[in-house]
Amino acid sequence: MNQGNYSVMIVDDQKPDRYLLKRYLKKMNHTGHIFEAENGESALDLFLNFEKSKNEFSDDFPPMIIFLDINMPFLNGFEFLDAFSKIRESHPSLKSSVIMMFSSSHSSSDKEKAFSYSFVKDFITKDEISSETIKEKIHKILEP
Amino acid sequence: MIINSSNKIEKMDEDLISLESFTFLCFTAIFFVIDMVTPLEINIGVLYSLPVWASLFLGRSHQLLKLTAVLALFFIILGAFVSLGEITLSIFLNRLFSCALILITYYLCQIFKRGLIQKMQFEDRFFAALESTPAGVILIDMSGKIVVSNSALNVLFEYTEIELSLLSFEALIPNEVKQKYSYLVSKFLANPKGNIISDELEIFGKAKSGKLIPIDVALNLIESNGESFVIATVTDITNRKENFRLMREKNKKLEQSESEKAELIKELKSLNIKNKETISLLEAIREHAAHALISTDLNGLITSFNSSAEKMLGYKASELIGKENPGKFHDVQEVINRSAEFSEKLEEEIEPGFKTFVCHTNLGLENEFEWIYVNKTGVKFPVLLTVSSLFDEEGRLSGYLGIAQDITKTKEVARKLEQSNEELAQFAYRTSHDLKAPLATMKGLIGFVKEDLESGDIDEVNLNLREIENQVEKLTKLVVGILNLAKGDLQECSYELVNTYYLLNKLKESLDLELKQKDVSFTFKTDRELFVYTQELRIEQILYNLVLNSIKYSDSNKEIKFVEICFEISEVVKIKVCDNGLGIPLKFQDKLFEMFTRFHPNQAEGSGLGMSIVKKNIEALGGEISFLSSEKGSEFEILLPIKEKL
Repeated sequence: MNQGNYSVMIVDDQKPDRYLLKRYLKKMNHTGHIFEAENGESALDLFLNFEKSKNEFSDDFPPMIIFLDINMPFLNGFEFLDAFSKIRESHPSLKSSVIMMFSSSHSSSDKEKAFSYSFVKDFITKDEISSETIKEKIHKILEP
Repeated sequence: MIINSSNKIEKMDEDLISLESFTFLCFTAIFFVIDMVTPLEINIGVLYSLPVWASLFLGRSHQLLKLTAVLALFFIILGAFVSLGEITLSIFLNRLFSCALILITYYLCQIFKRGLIQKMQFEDRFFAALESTPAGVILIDMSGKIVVSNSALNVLFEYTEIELSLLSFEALIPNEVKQKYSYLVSKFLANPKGNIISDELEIFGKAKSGKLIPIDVALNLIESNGESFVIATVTDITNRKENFRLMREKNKKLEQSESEKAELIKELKSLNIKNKETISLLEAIREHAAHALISTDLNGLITSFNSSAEKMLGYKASELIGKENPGKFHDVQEVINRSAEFSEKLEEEIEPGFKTFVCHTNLGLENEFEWIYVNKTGVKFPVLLTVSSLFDEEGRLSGYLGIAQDITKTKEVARKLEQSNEELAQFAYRTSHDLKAPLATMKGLIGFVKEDLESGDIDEVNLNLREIENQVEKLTKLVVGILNLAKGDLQECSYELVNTYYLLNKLKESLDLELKQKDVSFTFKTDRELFVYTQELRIEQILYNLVLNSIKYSDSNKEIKFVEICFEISEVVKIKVCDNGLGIPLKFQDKLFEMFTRFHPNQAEGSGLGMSIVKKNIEALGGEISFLSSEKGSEFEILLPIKEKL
């Protein structure tokens, strides 16, 4: 895989948080496509219309890493995970997509709940984020 | 011993007559010879009277006396005729006198004889009676010598009559108890009235062979010719004693069983009393218990149904007792589900039905479960049912007792509690999250601002500083919202008369900036003089949040944007807040009052707490809120109870 050339998705209702994450990615020389969604529902649309998204974004779709917030209006992080796991069953190519939780929650029950999904690989809390941590975590996922 | 009946006496007399008559004849003849050889002048009559007197004591009958007298007379007269010479006057007078003497003697003797015979006959009869007595009788003189004893006594003590007559009565008493006897005898002699001395004392006689004989002795003192005798009646009580012993044993047993019986009766009585107390207590409990008490027999047939059960289920006891099974008022589907559940749990096949209710009890397990009861009219409600075993007097399982408690209210309270707990947990979670999130964002942004300053990217710095400002504002709103919510929850404001016109004017002023920004017109309808007795701060909070929502979520596509408040007082205080805004999406309407809920996140900034604050305050005022909402707009209606101000 080309260094930095992988698509990611950021699902977060907070625009400044998306901005921050984008800058961290940029800082670690990420050059791939970045999908953005401001809640679970709009993120899910991208996967529900799988063929359309595939046509539109070709190899960039599906994103390799999905950064997922928990507290969002309409469809929150967990509701998204639930729906996503169902879509994943019918689209084998989605199996290569992994999720990294991206939340300000420190609640252990939230972490437990998130990790109960096999495709959730890590959990970043927003207040501990830095370019170093994010680099480390992404490397861990991509080059285990 | 003399063993004569009166008939025997006479017979013997007859036998004796010839012998005695002969003897007397001889004596009289000797006297006649003496009479003949002595001068006839000597009064020989005295001599002839001797046999007469003798016959009195020796003879037993009158005949001998008569015979002797006649003989004496005969010889006196004969003597006169056979005497030699002539009969002189002195001889004649002598003979006459002698005859008179004999006759007098005879008469006297006859009188004595009669008394004597009577006495003898009496004695004979007495001794005969003595002999015929089955008891041993013994006559003892005061020196202790045995005078008379009957054969029963002789047989008893194994002595002959002659042997006994040579003995003192002490020979009949065992050595070991002689002292006791002499004490008893002296006691008897001091007060010599018919006295049985062995009634309760154990008295023994000693037979010739040394054998001890249990006896009963009755003592009597008799006087005879100035002499005192003790007559003792001795009864062998060997048998009686044995009988007595047996009887005593029986009695003892009987007594024992009697006392046992008495004890038992006492116990039973006390039990009965306790039982009665218990029964009346139980009845009182049963009738006045707040819980339904339903008992059944082993097969589930209802045997009692208290008044609480009647009230709870709507059935009369008479409709169910002896006729129905508790299944009558259970939810059928639930019973089926439970029996499957219990079968699995208890590893035993439990058929749906009465067995489902009692299977735990039968296994000695706790049997307290929530069940659904269905009352007579078909209304279902939850109960907490405890089933325990009932036992009869012998401790055998005789039935079951079910105690059911209607837990509708409990469940409702529990549900509310759970809800408020959930709310609280949600609140804590969201509060910590929503307070932390902007801080984390700001921290990140500040980091980039520093970087951008170093690299001289001033545009990016300005952009991020504005974003930081937004975050601060957001955080401020959130903190204010949380504080207001806490106020709504905790703060007890005082009731006061509030002028609605003044209140709404104040509200309009405080929202002036927002109204202008969004180009929304705010109108209100109320009487200038309309006062409401309420908590002003709460009303303010309610209206402020509702109107602010109307402004925030106004529909920019509509030409005229408005929000309107109407105040009305009839039976309740009715407040209507109407707008022509975006409306609340239908699928989120039931989540409207939940904390941190936002349906138009792009439309405006908000803490997501506004409607929670509204609801909390309305609840605190004892009122309710309802709404209608569509794309055309929303209409909230608040009803508050009127508090009278006197």
